[in-house]
Amino acid sequence: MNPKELLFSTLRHEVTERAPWVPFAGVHAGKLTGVDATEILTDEDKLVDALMEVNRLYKPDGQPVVFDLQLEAEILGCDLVWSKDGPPSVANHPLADTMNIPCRCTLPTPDAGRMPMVLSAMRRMKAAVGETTALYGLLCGPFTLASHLRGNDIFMDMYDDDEYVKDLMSFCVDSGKKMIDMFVDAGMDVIAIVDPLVSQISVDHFEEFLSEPFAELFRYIREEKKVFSSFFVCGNATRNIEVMCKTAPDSISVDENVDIIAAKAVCDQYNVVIGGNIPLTSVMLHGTQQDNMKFVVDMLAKLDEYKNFIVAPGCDMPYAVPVENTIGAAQAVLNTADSAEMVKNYTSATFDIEVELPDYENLERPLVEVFTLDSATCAACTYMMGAANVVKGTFREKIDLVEYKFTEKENIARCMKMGVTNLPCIYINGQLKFSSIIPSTEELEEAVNEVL
Amino acid sequence: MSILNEISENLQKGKAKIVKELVQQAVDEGIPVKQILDEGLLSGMSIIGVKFKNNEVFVPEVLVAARAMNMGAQVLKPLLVESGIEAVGKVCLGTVKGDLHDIGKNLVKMMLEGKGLEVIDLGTDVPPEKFIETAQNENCDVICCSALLTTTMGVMQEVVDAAKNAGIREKVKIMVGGAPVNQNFCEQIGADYYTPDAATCAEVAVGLFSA
Amino acid sequence: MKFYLITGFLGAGKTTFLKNFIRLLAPKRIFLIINEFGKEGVDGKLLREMNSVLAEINNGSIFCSCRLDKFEETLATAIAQKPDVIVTEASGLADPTNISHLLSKYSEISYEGSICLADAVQLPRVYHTAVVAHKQLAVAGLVLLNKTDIAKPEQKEAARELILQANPLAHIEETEYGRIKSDWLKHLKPSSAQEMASELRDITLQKSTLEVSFNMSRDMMLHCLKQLSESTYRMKGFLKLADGNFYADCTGPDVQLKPWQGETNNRLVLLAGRGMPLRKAIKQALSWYDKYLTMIKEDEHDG
Repeated sequence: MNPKELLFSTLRHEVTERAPWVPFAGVHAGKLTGVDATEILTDEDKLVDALMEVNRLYKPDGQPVVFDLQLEAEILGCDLVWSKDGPPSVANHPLADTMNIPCRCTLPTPDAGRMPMVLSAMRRMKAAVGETTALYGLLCGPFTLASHLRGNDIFMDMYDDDEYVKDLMSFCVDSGKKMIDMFVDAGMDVIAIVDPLVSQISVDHFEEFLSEPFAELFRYIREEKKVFSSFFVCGNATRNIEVMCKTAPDSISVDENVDIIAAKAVCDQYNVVIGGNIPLTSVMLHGTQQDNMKFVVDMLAKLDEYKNFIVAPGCDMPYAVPVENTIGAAQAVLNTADSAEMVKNYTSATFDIEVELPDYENLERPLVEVFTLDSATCAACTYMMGAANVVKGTFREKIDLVEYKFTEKENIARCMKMGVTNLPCIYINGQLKFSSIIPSTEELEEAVNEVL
Repeated sequence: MSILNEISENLQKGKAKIVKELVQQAVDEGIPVKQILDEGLLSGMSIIGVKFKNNEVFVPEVLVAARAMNMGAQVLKPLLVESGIEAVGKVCLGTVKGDLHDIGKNLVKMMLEGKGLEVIDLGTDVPPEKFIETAQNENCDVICCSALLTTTMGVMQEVVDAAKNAGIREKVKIMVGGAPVNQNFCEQIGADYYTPDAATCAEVAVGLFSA
Repeated sequence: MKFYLITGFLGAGKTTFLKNFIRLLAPKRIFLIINEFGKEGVDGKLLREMNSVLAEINNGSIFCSCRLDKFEETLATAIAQKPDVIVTEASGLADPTNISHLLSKYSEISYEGSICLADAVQLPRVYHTAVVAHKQLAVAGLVLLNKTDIAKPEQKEAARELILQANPLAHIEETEYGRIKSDWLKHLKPSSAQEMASELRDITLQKSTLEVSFNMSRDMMLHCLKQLSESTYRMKGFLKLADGNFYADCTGPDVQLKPWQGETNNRLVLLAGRGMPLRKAIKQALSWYDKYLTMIKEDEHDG
């Protein structure tokens, strides 16, 4: 089954052979091509290049095109403060001192703000990978948008002027519909409504202010646009999972603050797919590749069957997540059984296997060693090995080339002995030369020439 | 129900106007100012704090309760000054440089005030020097740093270093918090305390002064 | 055919200027496109003498940055009539930044540039409350600093500074009563600032319409207008009240309710912007004058 179809199948609540994988590489995409977060969110060519690299290395079944909850706020007059390693922040709130409901004539249009570049990037991604990868169009949820426009006073307004909050929410719903129209028109397969602030209010407040707006947006996506929908939330939204389900999205996505297995039980009652929740900071950003594989393997092991479940990061991945960590997570989703074996071998008794390392100081000719998770199944590993093979074709008998797959116990022991932590990678004469990011043929040739 | 209980109950419901009236009434009845503060206002806020920690109430409930507390405290303020009662301790607080998120920081502020501490709120996007300068000039005993972003939490390290360089590291306690922060990180940067939520932060901070 | 765009914030004196400008352009045939707040000021007799035509753009395009479709309809009508000159008076709240882009689609039009009226006394206030005031200046080729007769020298200087801050290349002329001299026009050129990278909104601009009952008295209406005037830039309406027909015409605190001979529709249109609690003021008016006023929700689903 093609990856996109697999994800669709899950969103239709069918049982699948494996769980689908949707890495939320927003600004992090730039890390793969060496451009910063601001460039990713403002420069169409750099964005598309980076997304293509995400698609190549992380093998997603579905992927977002732009993850920026400030897109609408910017159009509606909020000033943004830009950052090189994260999405921009809203610096002021136009309605903070003007408690009005904006004119509908100000709603986002295709020529507003950064929409031209976003929509064009969506169309290019659709043409490039749309056959096999489901594309996610992400919009800022109505509650978070209302808080961007009004500021923190929105929380007080819930007590002081409930009519105002409802009217403002209704404006934000209309803004959401405009975004949905444009995203679906640009070919998006799944519309995700991202509303992190949902976790900051009670069930009662959710029902009073949010149930209707969200139900209307999901109805609109389902009945009038006929595409799939998702409801993203951040923070401890445990208590709100049930009311979120009642707004009838096709899927929900949660972060590490929610016990995803317990939440799945709630979602199953409403036949809603749940996605998540690789911890962003402790595992993806600060953990090792093995930590990431282990987290995913352990999470999947808790499921009875692959139904109504998507593996994804908790939310937008931090810019600086090590590439190999995501590769590890991808490998664990795409080849769960093999990965489970690797994790087991890694954590258990591999220390008793004796491995002899080459005498790197006295080699007859340059030795290129490629360490992979498994070049047959892991995309990044395939490309890494491919790059090495091309160079071997050029230098022929002048160099030696060997691949060590992490699937073999002996190779795990070798990695440990050499201190190899991130896969895939290339060592030349015992020195780490390339880690996770695939070198171009020229770069690799140059590295070989240096030791020839 | 005693009037102090009534103050506490209404404060928890965020009924600011009623709280203000009841506090005035309690003053007129001759109840000691310190008792109104402790058993009426601060005890109500403390209950809200515990409920917030347990996920029983959320941001809006805390904000309106804090507003009610402030309305009541306004009535008491001149009387507290008159009778020479001082705040338990002084804290300066802010979201670190590069970070504009202030919901969590504001909650901490309210909880700290709810424990009777004086809080100097430095706002968001606060450079390390500003924390140190304020702690020195205002004689703060505690610096509280907040961050929501993985990319800005590193600034907390700079705050700790700046305190060392200014020679006040021994005098002030540095507390850190925010979504990406944890105990490990706190130890790693050499800060004094990490607390996972606003209510715990206030408990730990007030504990520093009673010790 | 030549195209002139006239901008200026509410109350800057666009309407008075227009009369002078039409005379200046004579005997050319003029097609005048005017926003709904400007029409009453333009004398029909004057237009006929000048062999000119007037079209009004109503409702919905008041913030014409986002509703250019209605403007385009009118523009097509104008082009079909082959006038020598088309003069468009944008609403005081209009965002003109994308007009030249739009005009470039029409090869028969030669865009001469934008003339912006600035109130020498009020400019600092509107400049800091309304984003559009800034944008209107930014795209202007010629800025007329109006009402200099009542402005103090330091007010004029402050206004000049703001204009140059918004548009360092602006040519500024001081004037009063919206007067214009023909040789000033040689400084007019289509500004390059017009090609802005992206289009952003000012969501603090507010427009509301109240339906006024025939039973309301003039005194009551006057009180009501005074109450509302503190929360508005502008109010306008042709009202049939219990004691006669009136034209309500208010700019900020300046409230006018004058006898009126023409048609009435009993709709009071209110405009406000940043920092103006219009929503609250209307709520209060509706509760105080509940028998006489009703809110018309036209904005809600328009757009």
